[in-house]
Amino acid sequence: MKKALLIIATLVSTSSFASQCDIDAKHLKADYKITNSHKAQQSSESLTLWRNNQQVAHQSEVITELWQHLANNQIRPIRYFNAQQRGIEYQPSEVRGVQNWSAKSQLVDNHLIKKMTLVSTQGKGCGEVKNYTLRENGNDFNLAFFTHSKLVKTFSISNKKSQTTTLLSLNNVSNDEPLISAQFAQWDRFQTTDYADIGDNEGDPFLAKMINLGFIEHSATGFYNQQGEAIQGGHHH
Amino acid sequence: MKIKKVAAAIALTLTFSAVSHADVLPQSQKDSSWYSAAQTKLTTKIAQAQATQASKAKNVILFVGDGMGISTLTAARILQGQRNNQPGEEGYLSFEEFPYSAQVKTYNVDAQTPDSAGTMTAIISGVKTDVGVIGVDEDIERGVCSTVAGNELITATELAEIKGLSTGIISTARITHATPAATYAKSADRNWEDVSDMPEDAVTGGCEDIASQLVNFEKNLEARFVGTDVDGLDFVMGGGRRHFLPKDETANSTDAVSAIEGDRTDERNLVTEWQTQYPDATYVMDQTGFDAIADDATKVFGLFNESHMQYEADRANDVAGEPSLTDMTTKAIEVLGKNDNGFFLTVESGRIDHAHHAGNAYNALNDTIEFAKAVQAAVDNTNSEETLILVTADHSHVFTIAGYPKRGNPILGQVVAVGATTPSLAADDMPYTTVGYANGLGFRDLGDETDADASYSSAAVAGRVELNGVDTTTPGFHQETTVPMGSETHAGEDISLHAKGPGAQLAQGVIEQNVVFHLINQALELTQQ
Repeated sequence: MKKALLIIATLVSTSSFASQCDIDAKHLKADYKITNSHKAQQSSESLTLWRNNQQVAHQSEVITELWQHLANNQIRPIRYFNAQQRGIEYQPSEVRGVQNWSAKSQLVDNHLIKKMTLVSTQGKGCGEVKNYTLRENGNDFNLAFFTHSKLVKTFSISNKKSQTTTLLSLNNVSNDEPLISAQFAQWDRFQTTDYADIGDNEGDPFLAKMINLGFIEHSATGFYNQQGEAIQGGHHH
Repeated sequence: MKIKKVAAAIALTLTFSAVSHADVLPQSQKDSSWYSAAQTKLTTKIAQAQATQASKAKNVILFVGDGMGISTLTAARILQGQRNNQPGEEGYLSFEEFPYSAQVKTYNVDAQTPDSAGTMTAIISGVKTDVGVIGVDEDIERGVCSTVAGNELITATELAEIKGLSTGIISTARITHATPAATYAKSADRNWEDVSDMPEDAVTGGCEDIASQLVNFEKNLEARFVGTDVDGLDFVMGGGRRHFLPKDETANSTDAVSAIEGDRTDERNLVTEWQTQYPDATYVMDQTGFDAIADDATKVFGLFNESHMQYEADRANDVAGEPSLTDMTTKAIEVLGKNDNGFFLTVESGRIDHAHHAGNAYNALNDTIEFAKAVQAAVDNTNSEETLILVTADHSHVFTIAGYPKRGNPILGQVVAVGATTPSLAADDMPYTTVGYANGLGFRDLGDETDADASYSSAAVAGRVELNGVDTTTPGFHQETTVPMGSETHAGEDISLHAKGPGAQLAQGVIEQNVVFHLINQALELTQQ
């Protein structure tokens, strides 16, 4: 029973993990809290990262964005609207940068991690965390990253000048495969429409409303830009 | 006989008239190549008017360029010419050289600007209907299954089948998409492409999804007309495999890109059902299979893509390869032409429409040029004395050709005025393109991206963009727009009908779109059986 195999971050100490790690990083559910601060004001929202083999989903309150890594190495984005149980399928494409798989599956692009400076390494096995930092264009980036599961433990972007901070922090991780499979199966049952067919369906009230809610490149979880570089703030509609 | 005498009198008058006017014309005018070319054209028209016109055809081929409005024809013909190192404006797309044409009004019964479902139903059934419904009349209520019964229309494809002709349908879109679907299906909603797309009450109410109706075409037609014995559709090719396969990984095609290719939730595999129904027929799903179709094949089913087939410019990127519209048209004529009774074939270029919706003129025009090649292939492979070829569109798009570019200026380029060598500047001091859209997602510069749909991942960019230094002729360039919308829209203006062959002479004037069916019916005498 792998249910709730990992309870990371604030829940348990990383020292409880063995030096060897057998986490199935391709099947997991990771719950995050995103906290946005501007001067004295603060707001927060939740985000769940789902991985199921060649599929990754970012589930937030209203929208779930799912990416399928296809056999031809293209990525197909699907945007689901949770309450309506409907979705819009986008064309698999090779638009550069935006479709970077690591950005989808880790929430932080590998290109960004490469640019950062490794400050320290803590823990062992599944609990091994690498801490990175970067200062760029007035922004301070700090990343704590689980090496084996390739999960963000914490990631913050702050800008002293504008007095803004965005913090992504991991609350809970589960490897419950039946739960994960069931969730992806549920999304799969939602009625979807090809974006290429939207133009012929302007009369559909759902589509007329939903297509203007936001677009895939500017997703709710964009901690990376089209070049795989970090951008300030976590909420970009 | 009387008509012939009148025509001869007119011709004589014209001849004298031309001579008498020629005398007063300056030599430079008479020597003008424009003048002599026009006189030659007139002579051809006179001869054409005097010739005996056959009105009955053995075969009819109906070509439909989805979303191929007049501005698309103009721009595509210029692009075609420019690709052949000509200025472009003086040329013709293959079907624009047909002897007869008409202007067609496209509105749906309930819509000023129409959609493909309503327009194709008019074209193929002779009756205008509502937007969004397939093969049913205006008394239908869209999305309400119970209103289908009693409102079904009979299509030219069905009538041809009953008459003993071979029948075929080709589309570069999903074969269950509105335009091809209107040739064989009756549906309260164009989106009921497979059972998983239908509301539960429609399924329990006995309505059949569009893909299932394609496979059950023979059975359904025989049930509708008790006592008739037909042999089913003989040539079907297009995209849309997902609507025919069950939601089961084991049913995936060998070139599937999705983990599970099929969408059907009723566990039916319509491909194997079709193969069981027609054990001697040929099913193909890639270029290799297409190339291997036997010379003696008389029944062929091809599904080349999970969803729509590729844009012509993007075809080389398909996983297992897929045939062009020209290839499919040529093969269809080869297969269907074996029937001595004749054939009726519908050929749709479905992705002209999609490229326009994506605001990408390059792919719309490129697919139109491929469409024109397919028409030429039909002309080359049929006898013009026995085959009526009709070329039309279902509706137009908000695609414009604007500014004052000089002759031969690249049609996808920025406007360069007569006598100038650098782009003209608008009032905002920025250059602008000749072609553009009145609404849609607007500007994108995706370079060499050949998939027009790649534009859909980001929001609309309405209004002006600095185009200085931008190569607007690349496949990935998406033109500027005025009104921001999630997708560029259809337009309500008229479209064209071009005709060649027996009965073509009846395609004249300004006509309602449902007249097209009656031209087909007249030529093949479909309702006189």
